[in-house]
Amino acid sequence: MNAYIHTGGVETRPGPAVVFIHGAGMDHTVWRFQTRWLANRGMAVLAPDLPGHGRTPGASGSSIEEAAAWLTDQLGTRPVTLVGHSMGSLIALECAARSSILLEGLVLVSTAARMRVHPALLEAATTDLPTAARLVAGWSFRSSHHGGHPEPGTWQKAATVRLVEASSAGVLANDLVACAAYDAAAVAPKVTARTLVVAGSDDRMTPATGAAELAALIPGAQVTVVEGTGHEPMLQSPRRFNSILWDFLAA
Amino acid sequence: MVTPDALGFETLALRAGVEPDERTGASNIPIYLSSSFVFEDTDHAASLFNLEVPGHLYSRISNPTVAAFEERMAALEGGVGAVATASGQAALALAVTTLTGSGAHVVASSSLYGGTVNLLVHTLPRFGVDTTFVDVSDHGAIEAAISDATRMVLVETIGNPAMTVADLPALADIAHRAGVPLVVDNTFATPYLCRPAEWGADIVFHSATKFISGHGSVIGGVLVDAGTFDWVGSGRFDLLTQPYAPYRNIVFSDQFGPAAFIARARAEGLRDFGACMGAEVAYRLLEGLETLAVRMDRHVSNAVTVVKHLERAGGVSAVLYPGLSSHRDHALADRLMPAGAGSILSFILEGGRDAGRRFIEGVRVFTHLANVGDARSLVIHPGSTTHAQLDAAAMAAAGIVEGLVRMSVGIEDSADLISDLDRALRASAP
Repeated sequence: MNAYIHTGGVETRPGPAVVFIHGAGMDHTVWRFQTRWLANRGMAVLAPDLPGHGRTPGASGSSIEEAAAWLTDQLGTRPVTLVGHSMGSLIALECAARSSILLEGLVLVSTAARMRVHPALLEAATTDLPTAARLVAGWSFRSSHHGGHPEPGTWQKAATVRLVEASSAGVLANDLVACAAYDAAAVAPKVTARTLVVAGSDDRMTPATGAAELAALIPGAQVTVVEGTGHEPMLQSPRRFNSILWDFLAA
Repeated sequence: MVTPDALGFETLALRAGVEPDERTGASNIPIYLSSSFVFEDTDHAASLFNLEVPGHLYSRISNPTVAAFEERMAALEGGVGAVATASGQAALALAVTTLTGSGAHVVASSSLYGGTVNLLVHTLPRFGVDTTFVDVSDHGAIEAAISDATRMVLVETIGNPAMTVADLPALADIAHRAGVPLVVDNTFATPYLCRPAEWGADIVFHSATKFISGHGSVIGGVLVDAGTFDWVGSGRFDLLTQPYAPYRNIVFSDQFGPAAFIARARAEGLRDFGACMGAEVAYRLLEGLETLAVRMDRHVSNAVTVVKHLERAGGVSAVLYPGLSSHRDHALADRLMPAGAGSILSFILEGGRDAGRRFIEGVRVFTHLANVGDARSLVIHPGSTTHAQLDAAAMAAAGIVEGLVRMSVGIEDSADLISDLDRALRASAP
């Protein structure tokens, strides 16, 4: 299988890398304000499209463990900092618990000790992808969101809808089932790497309280809440997010 | 039942793109009259110039007031992003220059605004871009006209001035099967009456001068990216899928995904051609959008009143309005624009060009000028003005005959409009 791995527009170099893992039904472009920025600051960046997502062909994994095994194979033996969003945070967590990966740091964005999936979303993901896409976009922002996006002229709600709508049949449903089945709380205590948990203050998909619960189970984990953001703090407040990420990577 | 958390059109028209100012508490967007924006440090400056992080650096590329208008238009059209331009023509030119280069080809409706025809027929060929014009209702001909060089199918939701309606879902299917985006001028319909992206269009543009402004006070345009077109899968758009040297070999489709087109339109098109919108204009257009829904309802009801009167009037041989059951595209208009077919109509005077001249000189409430979509009612003779540069064949293809008068019905007291029509019709009689 030919995996598509975005490198931030800079030819990747060997050695330690920052690996960005997207969420359910998404692809690498959710990290567009981080990948190019870090790559142009001398860091090796890898932002894969998971199997069945974006430009990576194949079937999407049926479990977080399966996705983590795939990602571990892709990364080989290079030292990495894993940055995962939502479902990607669970994949990062699962990778972190595996001894085969050389982990320098772990950043879990919009995460939860138990990632519950609304039954209506799960049903729509199976039978009516456009509605599922709109449910995801609606809950990704605070209630009655009306914009003010930092990227000039961008209506991010529609951008989120388009990404989910473009996913192949069954991918979102698979992802959501995998998220709901994964017991992050059981895995979290095994993590030994330096860990940062980032939450959006107005996240309705994975509320900040759930992220804090997970952080409490990871030895030494720090929690940072990005005020005024929902489920996608890296897209909704990129300057603040990048500052938090940079400080973590530089420490 | 759980429904998606999404605001309705009228709410978005009032609020999208604007958050209360954190520092002052101002609820409305300020007019940011600033050519440039201060960098935090040299690294921040470099990251903005290299498209690494979002933000404003110079108002030709983006400006906070203009960005609020762009975001609101994207929200109203259901697009992932928008770029505001100096005029509607600038929006069209930006779309064309972002998607084409020498050797490229455009398939266009034969019923288009005269300014658009000028660009396609007289100007673009000098830069190696050719156009084939096709009757927008002849889907077989449109399909046949698409070649390996074609980079866009261009139509108007409601064609000017014959009021033909484009079958957007069918045209989108044809274009997409060939790997080409459907580009739609939605000026006459507005996003209140029709949202082309919901019918399969990939790129939508407006002359914001018209209904979006609503007051005939400013010139502006806007280009909206629906974010639906598969640029990589098409294989025709190296401009979006191959490295672009000026931004350290950025690949727009890799970096911006669904927003690749609008990202390049801003980063290259506004940078190089510079047909940007000013902050004061954007502010007036934001104010215009606030009342778009209520104005359009009134525009449509007044237009229907005028149309019904013209149908009964002596000296009028035909009334062209898609809301009329006699119009060729009535069923299509009903499907695509259930809230009404706009307020622009054409009619043909039996007395030909002379009758048209006497009619236009006989109005007192309607205003004779080259615009549409004003809150005031307007009238013009396309054959001698907006479409005068078309040759006879192109004029015939666009449905323009000597006695054709185009009218943009405003929101005045409809009784005043009817009495003015009667006065002018009497004046036009031989």
